Parts: sequence; C-alpha cells; structure tokens
Amino acid sequence: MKTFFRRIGRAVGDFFYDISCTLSRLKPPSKRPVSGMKTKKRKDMIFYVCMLALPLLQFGLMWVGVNFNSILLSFKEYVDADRNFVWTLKNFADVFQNLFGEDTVLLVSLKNSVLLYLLTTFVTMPTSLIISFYFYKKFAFSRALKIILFIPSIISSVVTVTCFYFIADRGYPQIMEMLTGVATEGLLVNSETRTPTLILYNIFYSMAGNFLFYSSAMSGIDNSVSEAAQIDGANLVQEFFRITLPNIYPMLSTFLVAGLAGALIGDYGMYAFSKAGGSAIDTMGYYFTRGITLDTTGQTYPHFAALGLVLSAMTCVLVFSARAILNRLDPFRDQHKEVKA
Amino acid sequence: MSKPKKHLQKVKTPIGAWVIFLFLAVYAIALMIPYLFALVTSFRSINDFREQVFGWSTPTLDNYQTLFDTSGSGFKYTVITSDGAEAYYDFIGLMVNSFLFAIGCAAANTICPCIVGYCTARFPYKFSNFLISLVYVLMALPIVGSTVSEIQMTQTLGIYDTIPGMWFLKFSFLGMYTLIYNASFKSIPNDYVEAAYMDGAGNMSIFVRIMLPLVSNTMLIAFILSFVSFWSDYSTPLYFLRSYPTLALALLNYTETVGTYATDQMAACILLCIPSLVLFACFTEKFTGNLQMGGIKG
Amino acid sequence: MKKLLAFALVAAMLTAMMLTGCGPKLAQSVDANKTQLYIGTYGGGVGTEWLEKAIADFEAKYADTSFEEGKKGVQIMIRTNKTDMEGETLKDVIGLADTKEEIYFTEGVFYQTYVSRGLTLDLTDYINADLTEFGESESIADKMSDELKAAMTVNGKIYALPFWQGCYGMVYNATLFDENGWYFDKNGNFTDAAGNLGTGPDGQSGTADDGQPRTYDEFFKLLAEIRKDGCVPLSFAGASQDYLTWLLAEMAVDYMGVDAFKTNYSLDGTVELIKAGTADFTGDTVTYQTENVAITPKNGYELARQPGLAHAIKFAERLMQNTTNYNANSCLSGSYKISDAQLEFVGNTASTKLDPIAIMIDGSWWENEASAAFQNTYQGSKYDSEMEYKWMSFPKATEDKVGQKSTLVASVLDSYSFIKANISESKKDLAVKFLQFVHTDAQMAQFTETTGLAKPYDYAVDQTKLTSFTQSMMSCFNAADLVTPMGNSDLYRAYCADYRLAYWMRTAYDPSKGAIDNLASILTTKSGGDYVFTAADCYNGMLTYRRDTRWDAYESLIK
Repeated sequence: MKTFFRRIGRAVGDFFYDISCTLSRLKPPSKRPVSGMKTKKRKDMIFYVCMLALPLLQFGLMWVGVNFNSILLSFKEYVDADRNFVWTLKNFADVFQNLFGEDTVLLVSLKNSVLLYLLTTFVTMPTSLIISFYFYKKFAFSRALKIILFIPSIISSVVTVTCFYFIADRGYPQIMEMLTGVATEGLLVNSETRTPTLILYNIFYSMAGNFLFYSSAMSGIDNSVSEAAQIDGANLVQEFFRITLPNIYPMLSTFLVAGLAGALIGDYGMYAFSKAGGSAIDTMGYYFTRGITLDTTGQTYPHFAALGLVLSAMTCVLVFSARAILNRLDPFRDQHKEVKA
Repeated sequence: MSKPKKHLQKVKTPIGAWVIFLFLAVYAIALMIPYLFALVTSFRSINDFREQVFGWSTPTLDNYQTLFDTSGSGFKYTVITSDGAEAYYDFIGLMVNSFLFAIGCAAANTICPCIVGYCTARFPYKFSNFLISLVYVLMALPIVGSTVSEIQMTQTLGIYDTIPGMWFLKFSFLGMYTLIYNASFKSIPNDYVEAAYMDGAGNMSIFVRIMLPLVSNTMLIAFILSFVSFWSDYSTPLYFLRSYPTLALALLNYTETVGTYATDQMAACILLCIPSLVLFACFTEKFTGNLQMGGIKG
Repeated sequence: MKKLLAFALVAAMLTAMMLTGCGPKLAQSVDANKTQLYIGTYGGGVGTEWLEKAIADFEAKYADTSFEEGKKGVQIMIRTNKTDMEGETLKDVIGLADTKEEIYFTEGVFYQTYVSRGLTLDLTDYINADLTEFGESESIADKMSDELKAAMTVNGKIYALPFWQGCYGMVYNATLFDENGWYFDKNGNFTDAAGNLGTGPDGQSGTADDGQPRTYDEFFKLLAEIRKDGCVPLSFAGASQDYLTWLLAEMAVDYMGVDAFKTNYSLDGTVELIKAGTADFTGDTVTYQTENVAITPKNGYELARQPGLAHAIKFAERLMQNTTNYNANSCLSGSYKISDAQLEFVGNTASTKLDPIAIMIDGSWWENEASAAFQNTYQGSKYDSEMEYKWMSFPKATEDKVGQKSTLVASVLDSYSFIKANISESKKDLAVKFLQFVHTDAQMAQFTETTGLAKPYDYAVDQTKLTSFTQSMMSCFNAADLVTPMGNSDLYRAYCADYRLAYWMRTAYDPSKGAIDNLASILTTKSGGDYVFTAADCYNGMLTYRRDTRWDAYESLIK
C-alpha cells in the first residue's frame, strides 16, 4: 500500500516536472533562465510569496477576519430579518446576567462543562498514564490492546452514542432482570442514574483516547535513563514516578493546558445524545450547538458571539494561570531553563 | 521480495503488570461491546431484537435493504435545492458528499501546514520566524465560540454551504502539524537541495520531487488521521453544509427520525464505520505509531 | 505504465461514484409540458398517501385542460416537512417571494395570527360557491356547521379551512379486553363483553362506551386488573412524552365543559374555580372548595385554578408514580419513538415472549401512522390486523360528572388548509380548484378511509371501508360537544402560541428549572428512590407560571 501511494506521488511529480521542462524548452534561448545569485534570490522570493499567498489569505479571512467580525457582532443587535442592526451592549449584559445569575441555563451549562472537564481530565489521567506506561514497556499483548483502545477514536461519536443509548436503555434492563429477576429501569430512563451515566460515558471513552499522547511522550525518553534506573535497582513503580513522569512533564503540562482551552466550550457528546434519545446534560458546547442550529435567520448570533468572547477571556485567564502553575511545579524546572538559555 | 521478519525482543511482564493487563483486557472488551452489539443487531429483525436485546437470531439483510429503500424509512437526507424544489440524498449520494468533504478537507489540512512548514524552514526570512512564532502563540491562545462569526464570514465570501468552501475553511496552518513539518524540513541536509539546484531544478521541482517524498510518511499520517476525523465529523456539515450532508450528519438525523427502528439505526452505524475501519486496518501502524519530528519524537 | 493504470483505475472509480451519486435526487422532476402547482404539507400522522391519491385523481381529471399557454394538464408537487411546514415556522416564510408552495395542508397554525398578518387568501367566495364542476350541488359552506363557520369567520370573511378533526386519546385493544373480560358491569366489577355492562362515562346504557371505566378510580382499577392478568396496562412513546400532556389537557377540557372552555379564550365569563389554599392532593382524588370567579383579561391567570386541571394533574400523578401502570423503559426512554410504541402495541400480541399492551396513548391518526407496525406484524395493512382496536371515552374525574356530555377538542393540533395570500394571479384559479376538489364528498370520504381521520364537515363515508377504530372514534366525536381551540380577542391574537392546549399544563414547579409541560418527566423525578415532585407542586406551579411569567408579558394588552 505504501509503495502504491509512493508510485502515485512520483507519477504526479514526474508529470508536472515534464510539463515545466517542456514549457521552458519552448522559450527562446534568450529568455531561458540564467543562473545567478540575484536571479536565484528573486526566484526564491517569488516562490516564497506564491506558496504562502493562499495560506495567508485563509488566515487573514478565517482567523483575523472571523475574530474581528466576532468582536463587532457581539456589539450588534439585529432589528429585522434583513440583518439591519443597532450597536448595543445588551448582549454582554445578558451574558453576564445569565452567567452570574441564579441557576440559569448558561450557568448550569458552564458548571457542567467544568465538572465534566475536571472529571474526564483528572480521573482519566492517572489511568491513561498507567496504560501508556504499560504500552511503553511493551508488556504482554501491548500491540493488540493498543489497537483495540484506539478504535473508538476513529469511529464517529454519533455511532458510539447511539449504540450506548440502546445498550443503556434496552440492554441493561434486560440483563439486570435476567440476573436479579427484578424489573429494572434503563440507565438513562431513571432520573437518578441519568446524569451519572452520561458522566461515566465521557470518562470511559476519554480514557481510551488519551493514551496515544502519553505513549508518544514516553517513547521520547532516552532508553539509557531507564536502563540506568533498573541497574540501580529501581522497580517499575519507582521508575514510573521518578523517571517517566518527570521526563514527560513538559508534554503532560502542554496537553493539560491545551485541554483547558476546550474546557469551557466542550460538548461532551451531549448533542448526539439529545438526538439519539433526548437525555443530555446541559453543557456549554451543547448550548452553542443547539442554539445555533435552531436559529435559521441568524438573529441570535450576536448573543453567541458575545458569549464566545466572554468565554475566551475566561479561558485565557485559566490557560495562562495554569501554565504559570504547571511551570512552577515542573520537577526539572532548572534543567529546562538551562536548555532554553 | 518478502519483508524480513522483525526480531521481536520478548519483554518479561512482571506480576504487577499482569494486574494492569487484566484491567486493560476487561476495559478493551467493554469498549468493543457497543460496536459488536451494533454489528450483531444490524443483522437481526426488529421483532427478534424486541424479544431479546442481547442475543443472536437468524441473520437477515432486511435492515440494510431498508437503508437503501428511499421510499420508506430509508437512509436519506432531504434538502431544498436553490430553486426551492425538494430533493434528497440517498446513501450513495451521502457517501459521495462524505468522500468529497473528507478527502478535500484532509488534503487541505495536510498540504497547508506542509507548505508553511517548508517555507518557514527552508527560507530563513524574518517573516518565517514571525509565522512560526505566530503558530506557537495562537496554539496557546484559546479563542472559543467563534462559530457564528465563521458562519457569517463564509456567507459573506460566498463559500457557505459549498464543499470547496469547506476545503478553504480547513486550509489552515494553525496547529501542531506546521511545527512538525517545520522541524522535519529543517532536519533535511542542504546537500539534496544544492545538488538539485546544480542540476537546474527550480524551487517547485525541489519541493515536489525532493522534499515532499522525504516527509511523505508524515504527510500520510497527517492525511489519514485528518480523513478519519473529517469522515466522522458531523458538526461542520451541521453548521456549514446543509445542502451537502455527509453520512455522519445524516446518521445524526436518522437516529431521531420517527419510523426508524433500532435495527435500521445499527445497520446505518455499521455502514458509516466501514471506511474508517478499512483505513485503520490498512494503516494500523501509522495510526498507533508516533509522529517523527526530525529526531524529536513527538 | 503500471503507475498510470493504477492512477487511472482509482480516478475512474471515484468519477463513476460521483457521476452516479453526485447531487441530490429530485423528489419529483418538473414536467415542462404541464402547469405546476406546489403544495406544502406537514405530513406527520396524517401522512401524504391521501394527498397523493387526491393529486392522482385531480391530475387525471384535468389531464387535457390547459391552464397556461402552451401547456396541457397539471402537475402537483408536494413538499413534506415537519419543521418548515409547522405553522409557527411557516408564518415567517410563507409571504416571501421565493417560497414556492402555494397551497398548504398543515398544523400548528394559529389562524388568527395568519389572518391578522394577511398571510392567507380570502376563501369566502370559493367556499360559498357550489361545487358543480365536481358534480355536487352543495358548497363547502353548506357542509360546515354554523359553529364552525362562526369560529372561522373574521370580519365577515373566511381565510382557511379546517383540515382534519382529531385529538389525543387512549386507544385500547378491544380483542384483549374481550378475551380477558376487562369491562365493568353495573356494580363496578369486571365482566366480559357479553355481561351486564356498565353505562360508561356517558351514563347511558346501549352506547358505544358501555363497559368502559366511568371514573378515574375505575380507570386505575382497570389498570391494576390488566397488570394482574399479565399484560402491560398502558403505554406511550418515551420520545414523545408530550402525548401524555396533551391527553391530560383534553381530559381537563372534558371536565370543564363547553362554556368554561370558551371562557379560557374569551376571558369573559364566570367560571367555577378552586378556592385558593383549599386544594388537597393527598388522597386518590383532589378535594377542594370552589368559588365562582368573574374572569376578565386582568385576572385571566386565575384560570390555572380550574378544577379540571387539578384533576388532570392528579390523574397524571396516580398514573406515573405507580410503575405497575406502564413500562418505564418504553414510556420514559428518549430512544423509544412513536413508531416503537406503535410496534409494541400492535406487535406484542403476536409475540410469545413479550407482554401484550392493553391501552396506548396516541392520536386519532395512529392507525395511519402505524402502517410500518402492521406491516412488521401482519405483513399487511391495518385491515389485516388480527386485533380490533377502539377509542376509549375519557373517564370522568368524579362520580358526579358521570353522564355529563363529553367535550372534545375538534382539532387539537390547529390543522388547516389554505392558500397563501401572495399566490400569483395565474395560479389562483387552479389552486382554488384543487382546494375545492379535496373538499368534495368523494375526496373527503377517501381521506377518511385512507387516514382514519374525520374531517369536520358533513359528508357520507362508507362505514365498511373503515376500521373498527375509526368507527368507534367517529361515534365518540359524534356523541360529544366539539370545541375549537380559538379565540378572537386582542390578547389571543397577540399570544395565541401560548394557547396551545398542551401549554395549559405548563408549570413552574421548580424555580431552577423554568416552566415545562412534561408532566411525565416531572412526576417521575426521583431522589434517593423517592419521587421528588407531587401533583400539588405541579398545580401550584401552574398558577405561578401563568401569573408571574405569562401575565407579565400580557400587561400591555390588558385593559
């Protein structure tokens, strides 16, 4: 398969090279390019500009333009279906009132997003690290387990949620009745087990996805360090806590900080759950998706733009604080400072 | 010529690790249960399923046939054309949309970081340093909730609700891959390039015929991972591609449509998973291996 | 060479796929030789089969008639969409220039809003014209009752026609009832169909509801008996728990009667209300003291204290907080759709492993909607069913109400047929012709035979072509006072969406949750194994909601 794609790539490259050679041969000798430093520099610059033109255009429009528009949008209020608007601070007022009011949908969504982030990160992280260590050490059946644990990451969350819904609501009662003889309500039917089930679903499936990042980090540790530790009589537990974790700390903290960026806006599969059967915890991501998809005319976009800005500001504070704290906690802080210097 | 067998160094698993293995084995089985359930259920009749949710019965292809029967509760997605007529995408149409969307977006998501990574690595202008710093900064700077603005921007540019528009949307160099490509291209010795110049090759030829093959592995991994991600993505089509729905979006719609039974939904789930699983089977090592970052394993 | 071949093969495969699958397939392709007429319809339980038959008949009748120069015949294009065609969504787009549909058969339409916005064509002349073109000497107006005409008339004109007549209710498996003897005799004991049947809720012997539970108490006694005999007493779809809410609202209407019902819309009249602070929900039945209150727009929120609503909420509590009455995994699971509930209701009787279901909460249209369930179970249609289904008359809340004539909401989902006001002049005649055509006796009879639903007009139907369910439902409607959920005050016109029948049950039972009308969900919320909310909480929350939320919004219109 690798060879097949290499051949295709080479065929494409040969094709374009042949065309460029043919075209250059068509030029009169006086116009054929002559090597020289000035010409080379000019050609380099032309190539550089042409290659970066489209990426920079995309960046200018879809990052700079989008974020600039987002700021402007958050100060607008549409007065009719033709998107005539007035400037206003009402959107921010609404957002702050709802975020800091009593038990509003926004506040509940925010709380749930933070709760789910904390649980899926700090409950799953120790487990994921241990799993990754197992794979890093290539213990029994590592390869097979790695493959199986990776599968949920490549399958759409719609599929996983739909299957889970049927198992929780139809399969689980049947099994419990078989085992206990007592009629049992489905996990998402019973109002007491609904929220814990949704939380457990997220914890269960996020454990499987994270091991790849940690494994990659662990594979970067110099083998000689591990060997030296083993020679000194360190057991696996000691190696894990004293060698592996400190060495992957930079990657770990980067991963934590990157995850924090999505903490407040995470959907956690709730939109898919709501479509599959209606049971869903209000999360910020679900609030956004639900609101934006229901609004066919765009009248509520300013509200979401303002909310997005407020959440971005909050996330920035969280991210930078977290980076500062994690940098302080770095066990190899001095060594990393030397490397940077 | 057959590949030489790798010499597998046997690692002794200590007793404590077997405990972890037991946990992992149980966890792995639990992870697979929903997908095995979907596979088995997709071949059962709804009446058998209602009598026994977990079980096995005489297999039937009725559920798959139902998906392709657009007159009944088949797997289809209704859209309104530009002149107001009602139309629908059947399974094949949805699959075509999904391929166009996933392949195009994955290609865009692979090529753009590659181009920027190459230019910033091989052309030591000040702007190159600025670009790489920009990537670092923007990766750390969390901007959330800009979807509505993105929707408006795509509408203004006239690329809203078009598949090529989505390719443009994903043609972004902001992300980890730009840094990986940058490091990879920096680690390639200049000798190749100088030799090529001496032979009269231009910048484009050097890029296409020398540099790209050297990072082909990284490109392949990036493309495959992106493809799988876009194949499974329903949120981008949900916001931006209402007239060109993908399989994932159609499945989301299908699960809440009245008249679709559990067995039909499971059959639809299996069909959606097939391309991702085929790719995974062909490129398992690429999926589960590590990305090389020019000597720095990441 | 090999490379080129491999490359060509992949490209050819992708191209072939794209050529065969590229682009959406039109539901119907336009015939350029015919004049097109565009119809928008909600679909739903009514479906489109009736419309397809009507269209086939109409197109055949006018196959050789030219409606446009250079064209002969008519081609009618249907667009069916629950979201786009739902009344509240449609009202914002129907008047737009690029809206293709010209005639609508849909629901969720607040007639007064449409009229006040000038969205629908004035049909007065067309309704009063005799249908001679279709071989009838009557007009559509001649087939409408005076009450219906009065309800539809705004400033002397009629702008839409009621589409179908039906409501939510309880469908029961009459065959199971016959086999198990689940009928009440005159002493309130169980007997079989041949026994000395009780009068039923109407208090009269020899009528269709004989043997059915007369009161709520008898109804719950029936549910217990059904469970004892190994069947599931009652079912509804967990994904559509609002069906229970609709049922409760209709039972409340049945309690209050015509005059009190009308006062809910006119906000002008005297109504018997529960005295504040006297309602006691602790027993099996609500007890309270009453007072007569003069209702005006200013104190209209007091209608939340209507006894009918209190009784309905208590009914819901007794039903939902006793899990032997229903199968929780069906009725409370969001993955259980209407189609699943119907398949269970129809199909469980054919299964040796699953308990049969005796009663299902559904709408008058259920048999039409359950065609897949009949197909799965009997490999045929509703006519091939081995079971007989019938409509259960609403039991009365208390013994003293037995004998009171039933009050039924004629069109619970506000369904209408109309032509958009800005239809092009060239199409107007054709659209009117089609609307008149579907209101001929023959077409209305075909509608009823196909959908199982009646239309609120006077027309003959061949009873032999109707299922036992449709016959029993029609006889219930014929025996009841029918009311139309519509008002004509400024307040109603401004806020008619609030008057949707199910919203009568809206309750702010828990301040942190806001107002919801899903009583099934509220009453089954548990904490520590115990139910958290009671009927009293829901009842008190209704007043809170109406007074503190809705009436605040109405302030500017209350004079």
